[in-house]
Amino acid sequence: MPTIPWDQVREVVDAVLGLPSDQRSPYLDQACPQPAVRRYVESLVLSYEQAGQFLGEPALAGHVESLAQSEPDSWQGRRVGPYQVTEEIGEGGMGSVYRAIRVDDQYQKQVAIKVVRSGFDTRFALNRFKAERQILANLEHPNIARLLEGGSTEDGQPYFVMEYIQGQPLDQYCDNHKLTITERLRLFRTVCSAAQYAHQNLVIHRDIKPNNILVNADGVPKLLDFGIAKILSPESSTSPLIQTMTMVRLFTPEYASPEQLLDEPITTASDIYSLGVVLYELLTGERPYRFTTRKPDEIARVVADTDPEKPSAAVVRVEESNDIRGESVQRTLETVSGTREGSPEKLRRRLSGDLDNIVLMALRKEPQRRYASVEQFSEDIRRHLEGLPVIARTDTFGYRSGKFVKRHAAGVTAAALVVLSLTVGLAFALREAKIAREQRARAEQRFNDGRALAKSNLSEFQDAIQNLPGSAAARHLVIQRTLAYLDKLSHDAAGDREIMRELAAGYQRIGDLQGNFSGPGIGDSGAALESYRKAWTIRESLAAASGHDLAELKSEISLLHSYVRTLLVTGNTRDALRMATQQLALAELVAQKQPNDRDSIMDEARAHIQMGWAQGGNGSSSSTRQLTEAMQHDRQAIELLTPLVNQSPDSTPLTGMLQSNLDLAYHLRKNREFETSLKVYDAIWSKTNGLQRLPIVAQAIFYNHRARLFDDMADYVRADKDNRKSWEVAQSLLKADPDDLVNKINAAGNLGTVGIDEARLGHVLTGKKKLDEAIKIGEQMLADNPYELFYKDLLLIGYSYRGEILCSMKDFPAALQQYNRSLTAATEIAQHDPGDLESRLNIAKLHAALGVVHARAAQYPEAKQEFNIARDNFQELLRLRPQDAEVIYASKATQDAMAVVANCSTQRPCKGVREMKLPKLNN
Amino acid sequence: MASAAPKTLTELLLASSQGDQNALDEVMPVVYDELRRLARSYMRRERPGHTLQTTVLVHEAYLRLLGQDANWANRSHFFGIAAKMMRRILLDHAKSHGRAKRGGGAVKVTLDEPAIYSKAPDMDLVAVDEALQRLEQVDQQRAQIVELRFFGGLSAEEISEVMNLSTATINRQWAGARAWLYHELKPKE
Repeated sequence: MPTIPWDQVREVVDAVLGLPSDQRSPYLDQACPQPAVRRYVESLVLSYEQAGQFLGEPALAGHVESLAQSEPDSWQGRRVGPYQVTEEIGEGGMGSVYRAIRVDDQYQKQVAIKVVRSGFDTRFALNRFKAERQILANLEHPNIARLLEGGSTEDGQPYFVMEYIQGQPLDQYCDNHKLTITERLRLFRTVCSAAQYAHQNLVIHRDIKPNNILVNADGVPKLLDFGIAKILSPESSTSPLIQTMTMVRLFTPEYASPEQLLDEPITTASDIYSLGVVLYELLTGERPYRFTTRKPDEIARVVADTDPEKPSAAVVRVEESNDIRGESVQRTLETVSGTREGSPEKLRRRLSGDLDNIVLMALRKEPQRRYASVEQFSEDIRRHLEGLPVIARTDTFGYRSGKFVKRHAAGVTAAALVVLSLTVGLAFALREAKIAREQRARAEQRFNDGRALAKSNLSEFQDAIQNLPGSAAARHLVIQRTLAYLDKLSHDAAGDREIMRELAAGYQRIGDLQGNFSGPGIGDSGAALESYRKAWTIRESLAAASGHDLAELKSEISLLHSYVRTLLVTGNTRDALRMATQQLALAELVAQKQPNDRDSIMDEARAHIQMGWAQGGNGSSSSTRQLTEAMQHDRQAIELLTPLVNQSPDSTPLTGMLQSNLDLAYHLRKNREFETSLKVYDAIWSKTNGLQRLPIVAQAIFYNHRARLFDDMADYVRADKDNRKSWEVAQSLLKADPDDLVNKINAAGNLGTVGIDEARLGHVLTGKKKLDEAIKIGEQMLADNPYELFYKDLLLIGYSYRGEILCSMKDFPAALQQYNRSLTAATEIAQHDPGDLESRLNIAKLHAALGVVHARAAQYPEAKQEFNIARDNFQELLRLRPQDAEVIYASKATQDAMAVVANCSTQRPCKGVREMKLPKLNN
Repeated sequence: MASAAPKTLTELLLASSQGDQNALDEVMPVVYDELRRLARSYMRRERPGHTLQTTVLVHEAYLRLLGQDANWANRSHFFGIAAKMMRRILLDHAKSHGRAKRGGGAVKVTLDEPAIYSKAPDMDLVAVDEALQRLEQVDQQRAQIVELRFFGGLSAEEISEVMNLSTATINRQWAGARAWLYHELKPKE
């Protein structure tokens, strides 16, 4: 045994093993002068060379077989009621499945018994299990495996007994019996009827594949293993409708739809997709996608991003491949057609045209673009069989490349769009002012009455919601009560469409309130998202049951609109883009059905605006490509709205027109096309008669936006002018309605902006005075309304401005104090809404700012400390958003600053400190 | 609402990754159970002769157990646990089936032959495990790499995620660890 301690030599060993053999000796001459050590190292090297395949393959590889076989099975031979278990036949979603015989029966009837496995999270598993039992009990169809009975063992393990289906998987059956295409299609249609039946009973199978479709000796196919089926109706005894949504990812990747693989909402369309894969396989002998590994990520990428070959082309290709099961398979047209249609050419011709289109339609990546129901799918096949025209059409260019489901780069940033900044809180006012003002009655009295909340009846609540009190505390209370009510209602919703509609609308409205969109400021967006998600879940299930009728579509669009907006506001740009794409698809669908309808055009335009917003993101970290796409959407919206604006004096299309133009100008600005951006502003100016046609709030927004453009163009004089104009409007609004919180906050915000601009332009004292006043108003409002994060947001920026001014006045202790206050506010906001990366970015910047101030004050150790914290924060953000230009820029600035102070170790002023820039918070 | 509600696997995973030994003790049997079952179901599904990829097994166990909570942050930690569990599973199996030859010199190899074919029953897992335990005494890091790679089937990239080391470092140290282990296990001249 060697007595040389390993830790002395390990580095040497690693190093020498990495060298080619002729270099080893000279290396060891240097590294191991002592002979004993060298001998030891050399013996290790020798061992390494002798090791060959030692540990070459993972240990599991050789042992799985025996491992699998040796597993003791406690259920074998067991008596379960009148049955005796004979063997295990498989692993279901939540437990094992056994074959059993009925012992007291002369016919020895065979059944399948499914049990929940013991162990992890039994409660969860039990609920799922009970739910599955419930589903199957409800499903009675000749082509679905029937539930016979259920029970529990002595030790409390629940099980249920099902019809035992002895048969072959669908694909094998078809091949073994050499069924023609027509026969296969007929068989497939039978399977479709089973799936359709399930959908009508609000059940989505989620794991349709040939192994789950067994065909018995009589040629009857049976759909089985609803083990991971998504239940759309709530379980009677436990959690509400919504909680059944949390499902473990249990499905077969090769048959799974893009949305399943990407963990996105599942609908009946997902089953249609899986059926499409099955059909593809029945027709061609192979699956639409080929994978080299079985890794979920790889499969998801292939399915989401590539297009399947059309069936008639797929059969023609000669292929030798190792399929997933490891077998070498030579597939030619001959072998495939041998089991299908007889002659190769005949097979190809049979498949091309309609059948190609039918299969591909089911396989479309966007759920809405597939067949609307299994029935429709099946009917199209029938039409084909009868020689009638089919619905399915060749896919048009615009949709072909699976744009919908593209993975978005990690470099999508947090939101905090211009429209959110406190000084542009006017945007909120503009978007929502109309609704808010009309519906937000002075209901304080009513609230105090308690009448609105007295009866627990949905319409009462709706009433209360409609005329919500202005005070945030009251609003909060109503929200809580309503939520409790809705959750309770979801228990009774069970399949009742009317109630489900009410529920969805209720959750949506609650979401609106939680997001505070009908009032000032940003509220609990996390909660709002949750509510929207619930609403969306319900909408989907309604769509599943009743298809895509117009009314439902419109409700969905309206919900998506709020949902997407909230997603954007909270920085969930990837999800927002996904949902916005759905919103657009639905809006286009409606527009198709109602081509000249004003509302549908508005919806379409709005969807484009949201797409633009989602694509263009935070601008500073959107690529040119993204910004260009965003601008395309903006322009589309403009195009859609232009005729409307000309036709009607109604302000709604005008608002939309303004919004899309402003967005266009914004995206242009972010893409640094300043001149073009300015032209858009000029166009707005002239079209609205110098803004006279616009409501006053809109005017203020215009000035605000344009001020930023001038800022970017370094034309501070014009920027200042526009800021002041905006402020003027804000003041006049305030004068007109001094109690209106929105007005107040906007006035304060504008005042602050004007103040800091003044200071930056050199008029420090007057600027500071304005800023101080603005902050005072903000503090007052926050004291009155502690729920309103929006005020904290304003103060956060205000304090940082003040810090900036004080720093320039060389009052460093005071500057530090202000920045620290800002930091406190930012931290509170970040805690409140963890999804908001923008506030975390602000926190990082504030630490950097503190560092700069300390540096200016020649307090170098403190400066270094702050910079370190800032750097750590930036690193964290970069990890989450690696390509975010804003973060990269700010992070680099901090690094540069750190480099400067690294050399400052005395209390004397240090070179480079004066040039350090104070980071500007996101505005 | 109920603070006494049983913790989800994700919560346990998080707690154990932060050093909570109790949480780790709770998590382990669950992962163990899952991996074992998956192995069995794979064998039933796949055609004989197919080489099962350990990493796929681990991935699938991970997704099945964590479902929606699956994200990169707890994935690394999970893999670390899974590797330990695989080790335990295989060892329990090897021991209980008496295939193990005990003692030193259990690794049959000569200079010319490629050493161990994975299907050969001669691979004495028990001996390897014992040697690995000895390595753990003197070099925790390299031993962990071996555990992750050999028992967990993880690639160098995946290991680097778990251990926060560069893949270059991992490959280097893997070589050294192999040398050390083989040195321990080879028939003594």
